[in-house]
Amino acid sequence: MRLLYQYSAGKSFFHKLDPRTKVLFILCFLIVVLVIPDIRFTFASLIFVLLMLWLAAGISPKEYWPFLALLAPIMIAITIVQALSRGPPYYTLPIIPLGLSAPGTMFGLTIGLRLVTMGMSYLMFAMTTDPFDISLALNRTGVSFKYSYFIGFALRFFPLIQETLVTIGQAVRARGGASLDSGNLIMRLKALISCTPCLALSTIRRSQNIALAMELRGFSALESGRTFIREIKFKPVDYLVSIASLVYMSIGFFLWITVFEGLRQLGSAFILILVIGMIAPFVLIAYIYMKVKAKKRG
Amino acid sequence: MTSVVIKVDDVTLVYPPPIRVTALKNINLQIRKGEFVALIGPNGSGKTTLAKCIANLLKPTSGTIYLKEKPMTKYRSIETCKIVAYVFQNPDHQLFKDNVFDDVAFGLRNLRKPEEFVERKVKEVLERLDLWDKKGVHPFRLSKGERQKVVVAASLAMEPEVLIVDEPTTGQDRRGAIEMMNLLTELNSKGTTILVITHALHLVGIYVRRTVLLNQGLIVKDGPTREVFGDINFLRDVHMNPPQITEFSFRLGLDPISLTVQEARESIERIVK
Repeated sequence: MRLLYQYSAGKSFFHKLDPRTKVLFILCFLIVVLVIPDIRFTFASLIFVLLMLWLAAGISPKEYWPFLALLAPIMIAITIVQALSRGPPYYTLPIIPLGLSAPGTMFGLTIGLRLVTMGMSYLMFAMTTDPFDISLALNRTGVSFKYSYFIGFALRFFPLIQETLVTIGQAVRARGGASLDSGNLIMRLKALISCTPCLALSTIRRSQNIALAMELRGFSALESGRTFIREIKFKPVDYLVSIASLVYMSIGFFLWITVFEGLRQLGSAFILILVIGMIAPFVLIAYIYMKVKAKKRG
Repeated sequence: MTSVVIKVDDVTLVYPPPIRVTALKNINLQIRKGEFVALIGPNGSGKTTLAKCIANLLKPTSGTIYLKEKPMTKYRSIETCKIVAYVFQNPDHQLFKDNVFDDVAFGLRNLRKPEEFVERKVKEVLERLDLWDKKGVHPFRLSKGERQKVVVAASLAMEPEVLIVDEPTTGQDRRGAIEMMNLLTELNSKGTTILVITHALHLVGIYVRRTVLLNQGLIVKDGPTREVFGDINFLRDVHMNPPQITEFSFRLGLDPISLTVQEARESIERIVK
């Protein structure tokens, strides 16, 4: 079982962005994906996220393919439900003797692709942002240290729970139980059920110990005037990405409100031009960033 | 010469991203039936990873592990656990049931053993480990030492040919640690092959005949415990402290060096006489 969602240290373009910039970028990007109801646009957006993960965040597909594999059955299930429950026109497949709804299929696929895009966007944020930086960013935006620390800590705690689950799963296997890694879905669910009480109890115990250790080290004794060993601040590139994200979202809203119904009739070529036009600001920013960086180094 | 029960052939293991650590590098190792072997080494040296590969819980990136001359890849996990039992370092990660009896019976029931056999075997193992009066207690209500005994009992109930025990004496008092090592010695004398991972080198000196020293994913020493502990400067180089009595006998220039207080006393008496 691979460990997902864990911060993976690196020096990529996305790693260096301020966490607030990343949140804004992902929010703007996902809002546009959710409001424009066109499967070609959603698909192009997913490809864009995957390319960003690889090129701007330095995370290769090897690291996240199990996550994609996990989402695939959900996507298929959504599509089947929509194809069976929506209206005409209908079509049939050679192996399924049922009439499937064409608009339902398209709608189901769109929802599925949106789901995958959202999942991958979250992964891009989680794998490139140090939980400590998330705490800092929240604190800088006005959240009290206590709560910002809790959120950062929860993100750090999740991979630890996953690691414990892997160990417990191995212990179940060592005693002849079902495996979390292999076998059919029912076998895996059986393994998960065997692991759950043990995982819950050890996680509660662990969190109690952590809470106690934090109290002993005077956590929350100094609510105001706290200083941090590391600081985060908005750099020019953060401003650029934030502005580009807001522009992108505005264009998305504009298209949704005004011309989208008419636009659909203009066909794939126009959609393609539109997608390229919307992605261009980000490519331009990345190019400027690299040029400035090269100049500094030179 | 007894047969080879475990053969590790040129095994390398790289943990997948995001860990990306090469935990084992071209490991070669043979363990014969009935051996009592200690795996020692500093933290992160690959001891647990190697033991998990031997128990078929981790798959090597390259190389092959043979269990009773058959490649591990040919075994299903249910077949492996009939031969190799693995006791994890943290007992809390291997207690799955609401009471001690059911927890010890968990593995046997997974192996589809008849209920009569399960009840008889569990009773036998719990009595042997002085846990019979705790059979109805929730495992998490026991002390850490007792929880450790429950997980050992659960593995013993499966009657494995090879028993791997990861850090069995951590968190145990002296009496608990000695009881645990005595139990392993007794099992070994009855033919069970034992592989113990430990940092308690003084116990290794007393109980274990063969020691394998790992460092940074490589086997750097493999041989009789006396021979491995005899190279004290090398042990220190890999951040391992030899048992105090071994260091004492080394500084006195005793030959051969002593692994136990009894041995040191006998050597000194010989010199004095």
